[in-house]
Parts: sequence; C-alpha cells; structure tokens
Amino acid sequence: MKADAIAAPCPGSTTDGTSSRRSSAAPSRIPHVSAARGDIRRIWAPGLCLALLLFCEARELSFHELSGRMALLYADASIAPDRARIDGSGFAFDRRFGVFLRDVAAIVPGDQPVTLDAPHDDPRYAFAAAYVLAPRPVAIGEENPAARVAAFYRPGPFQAPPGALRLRYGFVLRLR
Amino acid sequence: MTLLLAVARLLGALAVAGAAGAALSRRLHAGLSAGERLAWSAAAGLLAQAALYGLLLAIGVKPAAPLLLSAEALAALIALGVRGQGSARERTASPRGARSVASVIVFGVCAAAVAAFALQALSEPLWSNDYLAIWGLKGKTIYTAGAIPGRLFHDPTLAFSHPEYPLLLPLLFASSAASAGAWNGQALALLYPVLEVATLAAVFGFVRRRSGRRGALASVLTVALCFPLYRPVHAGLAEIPFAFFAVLAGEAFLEAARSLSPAVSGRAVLASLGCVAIKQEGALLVLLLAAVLLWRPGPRLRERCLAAASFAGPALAHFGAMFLLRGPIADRDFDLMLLAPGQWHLLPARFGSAAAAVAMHALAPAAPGLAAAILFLLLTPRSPGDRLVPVVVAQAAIYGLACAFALPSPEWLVRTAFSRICLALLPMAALVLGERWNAAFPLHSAARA
Repeated sequence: MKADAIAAPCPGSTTDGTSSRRSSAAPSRIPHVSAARGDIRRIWAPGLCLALLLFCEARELSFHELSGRMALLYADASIAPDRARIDGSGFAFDRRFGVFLRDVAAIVPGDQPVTLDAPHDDPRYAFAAAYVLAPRPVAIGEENPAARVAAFYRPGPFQAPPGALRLRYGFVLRLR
Repeated sequence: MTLLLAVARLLGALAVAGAAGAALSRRLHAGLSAGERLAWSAAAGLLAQAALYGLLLAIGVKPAAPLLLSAEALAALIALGVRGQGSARERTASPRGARSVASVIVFGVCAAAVAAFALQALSEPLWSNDYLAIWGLKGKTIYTAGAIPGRLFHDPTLAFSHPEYPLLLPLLFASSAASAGAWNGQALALLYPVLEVATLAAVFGFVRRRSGRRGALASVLTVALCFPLYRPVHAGLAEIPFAFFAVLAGEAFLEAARSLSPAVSGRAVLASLGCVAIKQEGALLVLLLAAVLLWRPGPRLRERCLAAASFAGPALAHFGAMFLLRGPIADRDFDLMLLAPGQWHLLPARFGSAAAAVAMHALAPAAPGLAAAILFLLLTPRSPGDRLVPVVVAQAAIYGLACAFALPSPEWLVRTAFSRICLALLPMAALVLGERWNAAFPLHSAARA
C-alpha cells in the first residue's frame, strides 16, 4: 500500500526521491531519461522547426520603421485629428484631396447628400471621400438626385463659377 | 481632444467593458486560468458593449458615453446579482511553480512584440483601404448618424463597402468611440493591441492549463511574433479581431470534444457569436467545428448534438437576425452563376488559376515557415489539440476553392486577400503547436510549470 501511495502521481509534484522509486516500477513514466538517451533528432529537431517558424514570422517586422513611427506618434499627439489624417498614409496618394475633403466637411451639414466631382478611376478617392464625409451620402462622378450640394475638386489653378463657395482646392455649389 | 487624451479615454472605456464582461461571463469561467478568464471577459465585454450600443440605437436613443457606460455597469450588476454556480469555487488547480528564466525571456519578448505593434498601429490614423471603405466607414456612419442607416445595405454608391459583411466590427468602433466620448480614427487603433494581448492571454492560459507551461510559452511566442498578422496595415481590418475569437472558438471546441459542461457550452456560444459577427469566414469556421463535433465517434448522439448546436446555433441565429435587419444581400465577391450546369466547363480553368495564384502568391513566400510547421507536426507526438488540424486545413482549403469563383478574377482575390485571411487562423493553430510541444516533452513541462 505504501508503495502504491508513493507510485500515485501527486499534482504539482516536482522531480524528487519518489520519482526515482517510480522509475523501477514504471520506466515509461520518465520520458526525460529515455529522451536523453534517445535519438538527438527527436529532441532538437522540433526545437529547430519552431525556431525557424519564429524566425520566418519575426523577420516581417520592419525594425527600421519603429523610430520613425515613434516620431510620427509624437508629432500626431499635438495636432488635430483631421490634420493627422491628411498627413498620414491614407492620403499619400493625394494630400490636396484630403485638404479639400476637410474643407467640404467643415461647410456641408452632416445630413446632406453630396455629389462630388473628383477622379473616379482610382477607387481611393471614393473610399476617402465616403469616410471623411460620413455620414453624408457621397456620389462621385455621378448625379445624386437627392444631393443639394455639389463639390468640385480642383487640385490645380481653377476659376470658381459665380455663386460658388471657393475652397483651397476646389469649390462648392448649392444645387437647390 | 488630443490623441493622448483620446487614447486614455478609450482605454478607460475598454477597461469598463472588460470589467462588465468579467461579471457577465463569470459563470463561464469554471476551471479556467487567469489568462483565460481575462480573454473571455474581454470577449464578453466587447460583445456586450456592441450589443448594448445596438440596442440603444434600435430604441432610438443616441448613446452618449455616460449612458453607455452606465448601461454596461448595470448589466454587470444584474449579472453579479444572479446567483448560480459561480467560478469562485472552481478556479483552476494548475500548479504555480517558480518562474524560469525561459518564462521571463518569453514574456519579455511578447511584451516587446505587443509594444512594437501598438506603436505601429497608433502612430497614424487608421488608413488601409478596407478600413476607409468598409469597417471604418460603417462605424463612423453609425456613430455620427446615431443609427444604423438602411443605406449602408441598399445604397448603390456604397456597394464597395460590402453590405453583406457582418456588423460587429463597425459596432465595436462606434460603441468604443461613444464610450470614449468622440470619434478618433487614430485612437481607435488601440483596439488592436488590446485584442492581441487578449489573444496571447487566451493562448497561454489554455495551453498551460491543459498540458503544461513550456508548450504554453512556445504557443504564446508563436502568436506574439506573428508580425505578418500583427502589422500596421491590418489595424482597422477584421482579421485580428477574428483571430481572437477564432482562438476562443478553438479552445471551446477542444474542451467540448473532451467533455461538454454548461460552462463549456456557454463559452462555445460566446466564441461562436463573436466569430460569425466579426467576419463571414467566422460562420464557415464555427460550422466546421460543429460538423466535427457532430460526426466524431464516441459520445452519445445527444451529447454530440448539444456540442454541435453550441457552435452552429449562434451562426444560424446571426444569419436570421441579419436577414431580418437588411433582407437578402448578394455577395459581390463571388460569381455564383458559375455553379450553373451551363458554366461548369469554365470551372477547371478557374480552379487551375486559383491554385496557381495560391502557389505563387501565398505558398511560395511562406514556404520556409510552412515547411517548419509541417515538419514540427511530423516530428512530435499526437496530442488532443490535433482535432483542430483538420479544421484549420479545411478552412484554408475552402478559402482557396472559393477563390475560383472570385470577382473580378481568382488571381485578384488570392493576391489581395488569401494570405491575410489565412494568417488569422495562425493563433488558433498555435494551440496545436503548444500541445504538441508538451506531448513531446511532457515531464519537462510538468516539472518546470
């Protein structure tokens, strides 16, 4: 009975004298002994595989970017959110469009549909416009019968028509 | 509001949600480790926050921060007041040994990895195309409109926003912004490192409890260093939240496969709901898990049906709720007309195109890592976690098959999405890795735990 009590596994037990007694009764319960004597490939190979997997993952981190991002975070901490968005990656394709959308959002009420005259071959213009002007329904390059306001994006020199509200990179017309 | 203040307020709001989640899910914590309780509390808290927000919108109330936070606190108090088999008496008995040097090093590496991802995610406003066009657009629209406008589902000018996608992530954005008091597209990025921490806690706690510490360290390191998933362009998208809920679903699945208790069944329901409500792929995952539980040999039919229903039930309920909310909406990513008999002659070429694209754009770049993972599985003994392997493989295979039906072309969908959506399965697959490691080196794991 005493031997059975010793042989019974104790939760949380660490290797101690009882385990050596258990070894004579059940050698298969001490795999670290057989592992130490076993094929070295069986011990080290899983570890090497795991190390290779971790290396493949970790190499995707752009370490060289981290300091730049720290500086970016520090800069963004002190400017308005819309300015941070215009300066960020989202408007890298056309930052003047970001300025234009900010100006449109500032003067068009939040519930008014907007028809937007902007490049419609690049979907990024539609995505950015829909997001910045949300919740306003936005139609790019097509008529929206419900729209009362039309905004015209003009990145270069332009002549605003009479009655239009001139913005830095375009103008806004009230349709009705 | 400065960025620092916005982040601080959002962190506070998420803490309130987590605390509410802990109270709401306490009856599901039976036998769980501390890390698992943290993860399940986070899941319950986020789901409750989104649900309460949606409920307030449905009754015509625009949820301001005090109202939403009070609603969460009230829900938590009600949950605490409900008597039942709480978790206090059923805390895990997993051994608490001295922390080894390896543990300290691994935790340090994980903390550094999370910090690196947090820095990358928070360094600029969320900007990826899918955030602007889909998830962020819907979230901002819901938040600023104070409602879920029907035009999100039926306006042709918003067709690019995928009206057929689930709404949990937009509701999380909107409810988090409401709790924090303002919409800030840069502060909202905080959700992603928070979800990463919750994922790591779930993975470590589960593997450590079930099979040992060393495997848990291997698993958590694999997830923390998964920089292909935790990268700045994925902040704002649904893959990282889906990875979190997929881990929880995988854990509930493995528990249910061993023994189905009310707590396990409840966790399965919670995880399943998170998966189906965050991404369409979540419905596929939970249905695969349900199918495996239903058809596995051994337990009686009743238990198998209950286990399967715990996963499939929320999926069907979510489908029904979405149908009632927005009606039938076609998926614009896929050309299902190809299933018509008259189009079958096109399928071989499309499958070939998809397979070639997968091989070139997904398998080839990931070949070393994939080979390492496969070799690891071949060199280590089987473990109970292996039940997840066919699920992960089937999920990825179905993604590949689905690309054959993609619009505008199979190659386009593989190039733009396949790798990203498969990466979301890696944290769940890390559970298998950890259990395999402990199966390979069992006494070391138990002794050092």
